Amino acid sequence: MISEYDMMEPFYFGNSARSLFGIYHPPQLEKARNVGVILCYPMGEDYIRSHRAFVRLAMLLSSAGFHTLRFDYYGCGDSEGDSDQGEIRQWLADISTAVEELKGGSDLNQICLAGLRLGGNLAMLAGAERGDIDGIVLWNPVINGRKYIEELTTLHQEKIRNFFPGVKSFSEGESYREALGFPLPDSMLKDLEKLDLYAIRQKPASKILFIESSDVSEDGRFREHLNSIGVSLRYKHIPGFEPWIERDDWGQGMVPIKVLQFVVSWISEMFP
Amino acid sequence: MRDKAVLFGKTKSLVGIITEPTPVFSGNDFPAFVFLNSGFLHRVGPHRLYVKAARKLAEEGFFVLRFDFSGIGDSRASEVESLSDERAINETQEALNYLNATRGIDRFILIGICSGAVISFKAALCDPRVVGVVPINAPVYFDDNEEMRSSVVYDRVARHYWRSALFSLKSWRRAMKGKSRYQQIIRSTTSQIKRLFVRKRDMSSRANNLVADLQVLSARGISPLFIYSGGDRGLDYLQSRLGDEIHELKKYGKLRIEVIQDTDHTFTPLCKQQHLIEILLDWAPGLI
Repeated sequence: MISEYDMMEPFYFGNSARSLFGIYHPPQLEKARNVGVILCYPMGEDYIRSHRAFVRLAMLLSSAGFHTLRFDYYGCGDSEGDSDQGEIRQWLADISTAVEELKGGSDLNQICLAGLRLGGNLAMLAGAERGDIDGIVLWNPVINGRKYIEELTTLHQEKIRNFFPGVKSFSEGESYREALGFPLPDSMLKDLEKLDLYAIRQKPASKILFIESSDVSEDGRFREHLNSIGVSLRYKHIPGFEPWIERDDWGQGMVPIKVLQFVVSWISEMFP
Repeated sequence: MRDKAVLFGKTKSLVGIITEPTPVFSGNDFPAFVFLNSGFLHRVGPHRLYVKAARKLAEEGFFVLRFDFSGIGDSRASEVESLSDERAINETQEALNYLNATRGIDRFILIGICSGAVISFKAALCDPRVVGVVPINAPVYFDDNEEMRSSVVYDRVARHYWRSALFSLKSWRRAMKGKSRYQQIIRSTTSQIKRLFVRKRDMSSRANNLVADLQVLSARGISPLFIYSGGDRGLDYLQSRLGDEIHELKKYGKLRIEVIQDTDHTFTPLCKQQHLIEILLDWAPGLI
């Protein structure tokens, strides 16, 4: 029997000077739909920790009949570029490149984007700009960029305090920052500071799943905002598993299977 | 772009990224680096460190392959029932076979962090094509000696008391008030004094397997480069395991140990990642 792994295809695509690494998971033939799903990873350490969950999500989507592409943004993962060269504008262009790549290889009627954390923001921004995205999965997006920076900074400082008592910072220059093993240069900080999901007034997609797997859920205002811009919204809270958070056993590779299954069932229902 | 995605192995299910060297530098006398997974982290390595290191090494003329063992990252889980170390060693050899068949490379350097360090060392012992090995933060379970592992943990606790608590007025005040584990302090004092006298004999009896393995590699002209984060438990283990032999091995070039201070197991601080890469760039040309 052919498994999802047998069919998947790792490859590089896009502009040769800014090649992006991707893995295409074709749909299982008997269930194939003319719908493509592009997975939008989060950034930095969130990306490393959630990679395994994304592999599993792609497998489940492929089994459910979706053409699925997961890829690394410029300066991330296996893609071209250094880790300090990432920019939101570039990553949005990368999502567009991925959309064209997936459409180019298959005769697709509809495209969905599914993003975790910052990947959710990128999916929303790309959808609002392009105007041709049919569905979006927002999995614990970064609702406010400034709070996200605070969160990253706090986690980084905690790690330094825990591992290296007495050391205040490892940054070599005053203007250069880092978070959890990844650079956080000024250009990226400026980009992140501007992130505000409430500022998106253009409908990014007609159908959106907003799913949260953190213990504490959003207070409801963001859901109101999504409704106010005319989105058909489904909200789901499945607490208990945040793959982007460092855990004592994070090396054991657990994935939040209930969250992934809900995402696949929602996309399957919305895009039959 | 010098990176290429490949699928290889008996069932073409192992996913790897080849980084091509800069052509002006490379030659047939350059061995290829092969990076092995650190735990369950996929082939980009902790904090994308493997990608950075691979690209820097390629700029110096080295061919580099980073790949995922079966069941890790993007590679399919293996259907073969075997112990994971044994399977990982076989898959490492499949990677070498692939590079040999497709690129004509027949000399290799294995490198890995944590569990990848263990596999790099074990695979180097098995495969004569390996000419260099870089175990990074090889963990305390470098082999299956439970007694040794307990001993390392005990030594670590004892050293803490010997170095800090024993000479701290605050600690003794706490002990007088019954708040400290004074029995631990007494035991550690005895233990450390005993170490001064019995260290050489005791440690030489412990060293056996690892020293023998290092001799095997040395006979093939391989001097492993062990890299550790300062304070990593694996470093304690290596030092305890080798005892006084460590000085002899280093003296005769059978082993090199580099310690990067003020960093954690996965080299979170960027400047420490850079330090690690600089050590590799300094060491690697010696293998050409």
